[in-house]
Amino acid sequence: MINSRIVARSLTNACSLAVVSAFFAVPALSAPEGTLVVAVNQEPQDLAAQGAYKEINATGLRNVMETLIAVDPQTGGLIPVLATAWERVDGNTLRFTIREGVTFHDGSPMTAEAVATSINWVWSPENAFTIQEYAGPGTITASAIDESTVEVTSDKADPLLEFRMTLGGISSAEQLANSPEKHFDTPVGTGPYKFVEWARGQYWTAAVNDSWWGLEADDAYGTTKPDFAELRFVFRSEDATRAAMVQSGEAQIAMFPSAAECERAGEDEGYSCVTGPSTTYLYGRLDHSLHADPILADPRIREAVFLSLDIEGIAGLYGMASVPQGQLGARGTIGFNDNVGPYEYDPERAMELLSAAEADGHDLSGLSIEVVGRDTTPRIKPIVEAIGAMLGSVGIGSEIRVQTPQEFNPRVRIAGYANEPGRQMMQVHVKQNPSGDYGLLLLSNYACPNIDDPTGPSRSSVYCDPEFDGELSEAMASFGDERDRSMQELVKYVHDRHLIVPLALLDRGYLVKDGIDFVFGTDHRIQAVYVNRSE
Amino acid sequence: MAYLIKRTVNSAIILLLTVSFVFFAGRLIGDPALNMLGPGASDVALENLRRAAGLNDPILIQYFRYILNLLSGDFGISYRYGFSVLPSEKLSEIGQPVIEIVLERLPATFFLAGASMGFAVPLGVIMGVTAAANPRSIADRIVTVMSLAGVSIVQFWLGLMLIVFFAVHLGWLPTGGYGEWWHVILPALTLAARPIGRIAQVTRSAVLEELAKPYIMTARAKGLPPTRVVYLHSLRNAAIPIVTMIGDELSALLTGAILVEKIFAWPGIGLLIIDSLSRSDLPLIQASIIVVAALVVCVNLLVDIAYRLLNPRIRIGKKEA
Repeated sequence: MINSRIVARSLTNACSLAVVSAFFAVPALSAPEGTLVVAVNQEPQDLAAQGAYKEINATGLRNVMETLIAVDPQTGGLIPVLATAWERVDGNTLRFTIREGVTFHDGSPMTAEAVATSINWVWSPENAFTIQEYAGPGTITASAIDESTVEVTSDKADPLLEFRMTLGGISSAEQLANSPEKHFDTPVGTGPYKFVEWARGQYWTAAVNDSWWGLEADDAYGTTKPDFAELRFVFRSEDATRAAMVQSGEAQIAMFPSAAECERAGEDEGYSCVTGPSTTYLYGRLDHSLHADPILADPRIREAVFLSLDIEGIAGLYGMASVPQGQLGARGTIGFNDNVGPYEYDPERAMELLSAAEADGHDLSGLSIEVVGRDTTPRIKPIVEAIGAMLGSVGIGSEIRVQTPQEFNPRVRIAGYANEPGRQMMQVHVKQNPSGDYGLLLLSNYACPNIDDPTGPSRSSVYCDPEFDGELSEAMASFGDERDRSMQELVKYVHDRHLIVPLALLDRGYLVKDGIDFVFGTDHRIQAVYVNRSE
Repeated sequence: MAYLIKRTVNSAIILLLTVSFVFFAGRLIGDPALNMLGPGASDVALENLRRAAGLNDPILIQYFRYILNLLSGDFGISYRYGFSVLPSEKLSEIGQPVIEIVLERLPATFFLAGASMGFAVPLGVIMGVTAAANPRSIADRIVTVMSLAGVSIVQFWLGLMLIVFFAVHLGWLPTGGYGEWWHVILPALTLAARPIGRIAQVTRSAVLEELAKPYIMTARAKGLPPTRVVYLHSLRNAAIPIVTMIGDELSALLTGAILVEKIFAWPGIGLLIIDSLSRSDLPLIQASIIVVAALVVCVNLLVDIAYRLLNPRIRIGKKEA
């Protein structure tokens, strides 16, 4: 099924490529001037350094607050920022060489001691910042080894320690020592822009940092020379008013327009819609070993369910989304398997499999998949209805339900669904994987859950397979190429067992005023060093 | 004085009922700690929050403590505003008093409500009087249609249409925001549509009734100019229902500003309520609603007093002769 939205999306992707090409072809040379106004969808809860770990926490904070290393929005690889080099000491420890001559916006020098103080503050379990959701297996601490070296240690072996060091911002140690209360609303970092003002309920602003280290460094990220003298992140929770800001010229960039507004941008002059994939998936998880109806243990029936789904059509229904690769991770993720493709849409084969199962004595009149979504998921009703219709078209019965979080959440966790014997449910849900690694995805989605640990990482899994659990345990403890290889094998393993069907890789879009080039990665960060005026 | 005391006691009872409703509603929709932290919260985080917020005590103890705290001006602490921390042992040390947050936002809401009434009262009264002075004329019909449209129009749609027309197409006014006087024009117009309509309808009806009375005929017979008869004599005596309507509409503006503040990103108490709802910040939600309710009660009390001043014949519990 070819959907006009998909065509539109392809066109906008082509435009994005053109935008990126232009970005590389025309480096910014003029002095910073004017204000870059970005209409963002929500006000930050605070502007603390830890908030830099997730863009949605505090959109734009990365312009002020930098990290030791970062994810390159173009390649997805790690790039140096405040650290010029880093190496693994062992499974628990990373050693960073700190960039010399960097000062914080308050004038204090960025020493190894200051970096260690900031890391310890951000990752302190006692402070309990929300970044703890990415804390990993152990407690992270840092110490200065000498004037230019910092060691970051996890008290348990952590293969993803490098990734975690791309998250928390490095904040002025002087501020933390003298006025820690200001840390939450007056960020002092090292970035290309200095924080100026936060008008609650309205906007926050930053001015270009004339003494930014990146102006002189030959390994700085972005364009190395900010184009804009000032940044203004304006809070507008309504999609339509964010779009109106770009249309009226009040803003150059508006975050996350609706699919309709993105489509309209192709018709109107003066601005365009640029989209790119995120790390968020819409997926369907079909009950398996635990407390599932025995009929779902037959691999032919599971395959028939998956083959009956027109995934391209479902992705089109969602709006700004593309067809996923048949796995819950974006290309570039450690463990991403290039040989695993999307599940095919083959209703005839599905019917053949069902006939074969019936011939072997399965009573298919008892097969009725309960397709359930949570009402907080956008466009969930038409999506579960479409899935029900697709199942029906191959002769599989279905019941469609859209439930509130109070009803839905217990049913997708081991403590709740253990009370539902004989279930045939496909939960339709969204999941995000920003970590760049399959470890947590495989653990949380496919490892056997423990009924005695209802809040454990695998609480939502419906799959119990000792062989898989054993291999996953080994893969989780491995590093580098070995980790990538073993994760890829596990991705293929679960794909072939028809446990979870990725339905849509959600795109995120931006309305961008003509004359502006904007580059972003799957983490969708808005960093002014990647935003330029085009020729 | 008896009138004032009775009205004040009534207002206090209404406020107490509102506070009680807000308090128990926050508990009846589920575990407040779970609602605040979300379904993914750990048991430790939930327990820390319950302990810090006193949610482990029996509900009646919590209720009476809440009322006593309110009487001393303590509306509670927000654990979600300004700090993105997980509930920890030291949670109770870092929260911000919610009343400070609410009071910070009140001036913007007052400004918006005032500007809306600044549009609505003169426009509504002029429209109503014009229609009443020229019954069944084209002006009367236009006013009737416009006032009906003002009352019926959906604020969300009107706000967006005003943005599209004045900000996007004409470029005369900003799409939203706060700070300069022109920022208030579009949100105030959006909010004023309904009061303009209602005030025009009531004014038309009240003035029309007055114009049919004998004293107006006398005034006209004396040769007073028609404008003076209509605007001075009849409007003065028609003022009671108009003032009542203005009071009602002012109360409605305070509550109705929520949607308009969201559309135009106006940093008032309405936007604060929406933000606190999205963050499930129960103490802030409660404080915001209670403060808005108190304002509405106060406005109604002032209207009652104005009503009495305009018509001294009004007595509580006594029928007029």
